[in-house]
Amino acid sequence: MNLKIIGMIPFLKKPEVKKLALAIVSSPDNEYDGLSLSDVAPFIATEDLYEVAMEAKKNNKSVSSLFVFMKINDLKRLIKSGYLSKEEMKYLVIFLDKEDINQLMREKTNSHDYSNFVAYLPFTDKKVLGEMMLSYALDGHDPFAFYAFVDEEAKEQLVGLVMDKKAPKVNLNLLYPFLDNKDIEALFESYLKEKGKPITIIDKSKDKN
Amino acid sequence: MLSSVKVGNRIRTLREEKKLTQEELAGKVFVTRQAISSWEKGQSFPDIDNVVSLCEIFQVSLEDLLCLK
Repeated sequence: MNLKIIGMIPFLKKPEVKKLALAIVSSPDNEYDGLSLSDVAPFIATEDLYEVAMEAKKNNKSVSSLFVFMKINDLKRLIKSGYLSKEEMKYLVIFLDKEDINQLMREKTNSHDYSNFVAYLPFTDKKVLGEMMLSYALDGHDPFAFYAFVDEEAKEQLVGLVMDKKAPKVNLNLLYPFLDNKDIEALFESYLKEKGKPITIIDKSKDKN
Repeated sequence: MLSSVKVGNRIRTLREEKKLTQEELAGKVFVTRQAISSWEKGQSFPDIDNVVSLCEIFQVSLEDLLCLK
């Protein structure tokens, strides 16, 4: 008899499916008798998904095929675990609502954990991102990835940090095209002063009018 | 926020007014001809040092070169 295990999955009991899923994620080739995690994912009990996902991550396996079946609270727990890869974090964004993403980014800012945040930039409130960008710059990183997504106020504050030499890793060449006119001039003036060059290229005549 | 296309067009206009080829301007700014071409097409912005050099070569203000008006 040629029995294929894949055809039996819908008829297995919840504990048996869980056991099968754990066997898959624990195996070196991420398979059990030709079955992959995505084959069994729809049949794993909702309450077992988090445990299977955590076991998979401990074995350095991808769990993105489980996301669509997981409860939102379990997804959030999974994010907080810190086990998810950059690719998984990208994929996860479609399962989170705006406030979840804002909260996630606030937590990252507060804990100074800046791992895997780039995929969330377009979906985060400008104010939340502004705070994250300033914190990121103050912590010694170049925040160029934020520039297209933050408001003018945050960029003005960043220029202030640069001029006060509190954000030494900011690459000015990447920053200046995103600034408004006033901040561009301020940045160039500060740059020229620092280099000891004359500030002849900045037209001061308009300030007198 | 700056427009790379506007800045590129301005650089091209100023270069042509000075009757310089891309190659000649590249020699004065110490960059490659490809860099000048990329700026003029709006594909990239010049670095701050290069912006300063371009202002000096064309004898224009920062406001004029970067179309900040």
